Amino acid sequence: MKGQMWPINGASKAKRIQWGAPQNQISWAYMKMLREGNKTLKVYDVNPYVEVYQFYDNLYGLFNQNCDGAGDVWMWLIIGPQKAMLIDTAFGLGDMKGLVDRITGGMPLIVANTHIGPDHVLGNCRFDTVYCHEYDYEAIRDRCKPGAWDYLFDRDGKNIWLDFDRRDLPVYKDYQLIPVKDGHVFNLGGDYNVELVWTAGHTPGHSMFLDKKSRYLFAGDDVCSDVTGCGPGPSPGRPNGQHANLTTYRDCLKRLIARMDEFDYLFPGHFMVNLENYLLLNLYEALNEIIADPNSYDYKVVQTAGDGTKRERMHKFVKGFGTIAYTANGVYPPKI
Amino acid sequence: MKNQNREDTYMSTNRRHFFQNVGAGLAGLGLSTAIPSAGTALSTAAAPVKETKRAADSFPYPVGPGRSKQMWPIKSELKSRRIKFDTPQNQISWAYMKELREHNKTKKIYPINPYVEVYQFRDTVFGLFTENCDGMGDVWMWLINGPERAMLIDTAYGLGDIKGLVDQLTGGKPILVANTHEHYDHAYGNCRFDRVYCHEYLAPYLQAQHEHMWDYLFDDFGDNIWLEFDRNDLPKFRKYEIVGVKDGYKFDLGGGHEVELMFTGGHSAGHAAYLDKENRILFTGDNICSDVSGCGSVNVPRPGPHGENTLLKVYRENVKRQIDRMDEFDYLFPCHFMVNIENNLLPNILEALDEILANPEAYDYKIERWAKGATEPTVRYFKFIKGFSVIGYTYRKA
Repeated sequence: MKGQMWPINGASKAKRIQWGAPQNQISWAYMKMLREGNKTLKVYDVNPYVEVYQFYDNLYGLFNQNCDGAGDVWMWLIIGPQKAMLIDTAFGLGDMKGLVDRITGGMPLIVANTHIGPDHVLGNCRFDTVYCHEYDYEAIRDRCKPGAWDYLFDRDGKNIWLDFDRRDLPVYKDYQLIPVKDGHVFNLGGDYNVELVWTAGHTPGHSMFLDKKSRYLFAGDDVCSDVTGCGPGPSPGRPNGQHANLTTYRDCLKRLIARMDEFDYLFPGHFMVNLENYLLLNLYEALNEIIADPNSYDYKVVQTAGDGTKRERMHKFVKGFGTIAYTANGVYPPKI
Repeated sequence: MKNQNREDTYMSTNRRHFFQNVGAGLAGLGLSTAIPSAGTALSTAAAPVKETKRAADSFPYPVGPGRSKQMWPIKSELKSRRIKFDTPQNQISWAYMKELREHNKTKKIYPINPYVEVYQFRDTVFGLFTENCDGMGDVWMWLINGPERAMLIDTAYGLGDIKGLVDQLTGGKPILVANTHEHYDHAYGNCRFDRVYCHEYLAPYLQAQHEHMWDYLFDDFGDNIWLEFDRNDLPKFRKYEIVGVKDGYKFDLGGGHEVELMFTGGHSAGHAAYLDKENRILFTGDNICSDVSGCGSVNVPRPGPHGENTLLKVYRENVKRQIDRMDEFDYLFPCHFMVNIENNLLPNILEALDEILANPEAYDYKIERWAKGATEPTVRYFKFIKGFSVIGYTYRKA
């Protein structure tokens, strides 16, 4: 049959109803290979929505189906000597806290967000304290709140994109959201440090997390094997929008590339993971080409967002990877 | 399909050309010297730049202690050990193979052939993965275990007892062996079998095989150049029967299980894909590759019999034929790197081919190589395929 994104034989309790934008071949083929064949896969009774993969001795990838129509999501769980660290919280579907405790054996836990995306922060309220970069603080505060999950259901209360039991979503409760600055270090015990590295781009306060001990870089949504949307431009009414552009991301990436001897593998928030660090050079090259000439894109797509608004996005190929997508006002910082 | 106009294409092409050459550019150098910032006049881009990008220029960056620049070792229990590769492979291919080889639950290595990792992709489809004996990409052979007969597509270098391994996997069923094309890493194991099928245009190439064809894998000291393995585990060359068949030839695996040869040309003059109608899989050979799809030249055909079939326009027509039959298969299985890819990749490939044929200058980037003593470089052009990787092609300007 002609078609694409045919069902993957996954182990999660949730079942896909429909997708938003199609995902590319490399991402889908990778996830099919991983989800159908990985021997470390476990699904725990405490949270049947999450497929747990063990990539290294102390690193677990918690795979969640996206509750809306965008790409499925990774949360990352690092086991340190005395504390564990969870990067992102997805939609909070199922007992996230219980699952993490089950895997870590109840270790003290640090939770942090890479950025504002609902598929990365709506599970925050399952935890007591969550850290994020200061530029995304207000938007995350404003996103994870009562009613945040309503858009996943139609007027009849039926699930729109993903079939799951609505009662398994979190009931919102207040939690402490703590804004931190670029370079903030989280200590997981002994000399095990994880540094927040501000990268901007996808959202104003988008940050990666550099596990200096194990040499992983958790890249969030600023690296994606489908579409790296790192040049959205300012969102109306949202603070710090001047940072959500390609140029700011490029400048941050340049600093990160200068530190490439501090990490080996990249773990993004979607699709392909365990990528070698030299991919950053290719991203950097493509970013520079766009910044030098925003008309040097390879193709354009008119995209309909979750709320029905349309926007035109330019796509530029990244050698050896997916594409970078940007809008007309997402290339340069706004003129002051 | 293309959402931009031609003018945009030229712009992007020129831009990339500039970076590719100055290049090092970027990648190059970026850190210290800089790339022209947004405000910089683009007139510099228009000036012809002679400086050539070399792959080695891309890495003035620090790498971790004990690390090579890229393509870090994937955990392997194979008897072979990589010494070096000739060219870097792309990120998606390496990351895919790392995940597959390190974590796949179906992977097995049989004592009868310690050079091959066996993966089971369907009840009756096995992928036989073996490291490339030279510096190119590692290789898949495909084994279809039909009801009465099995079929092996490609034979790699023949390292280790391929025949014995296949017999063990199939329980000793009669085996039909066929090639996608004649290249070293796909057909040098043929002589481990009594008879091999191929497209008729391929037959003369296979007939040229001889006992010294593996010699290039060793230097004059007798040491392995690219891959460490026991030379005694290579086949002893012997003549075997070569059966050339026509496009559309059907292999009967019994019980109604048919596999059809579909001529493609492109990567080589007699290149063929194989359509497993039962499993709804198209085995695409080397025309589709998640690193670089080398599927023909715009106007520089390869020398040799039927060489005109290595033109991109020939491959383009055959991709179109495959697309017209997409209701007969779901997944694509190439012979290198990423596999089990949905068939909707084919229209993206066709789109890229049509763009190249309409304007070979609309490449996305090019790589120049200077051979020892060369007075001019060889140039290869690259065009992105949406959602995948690139087509690499040559072309001679009028």
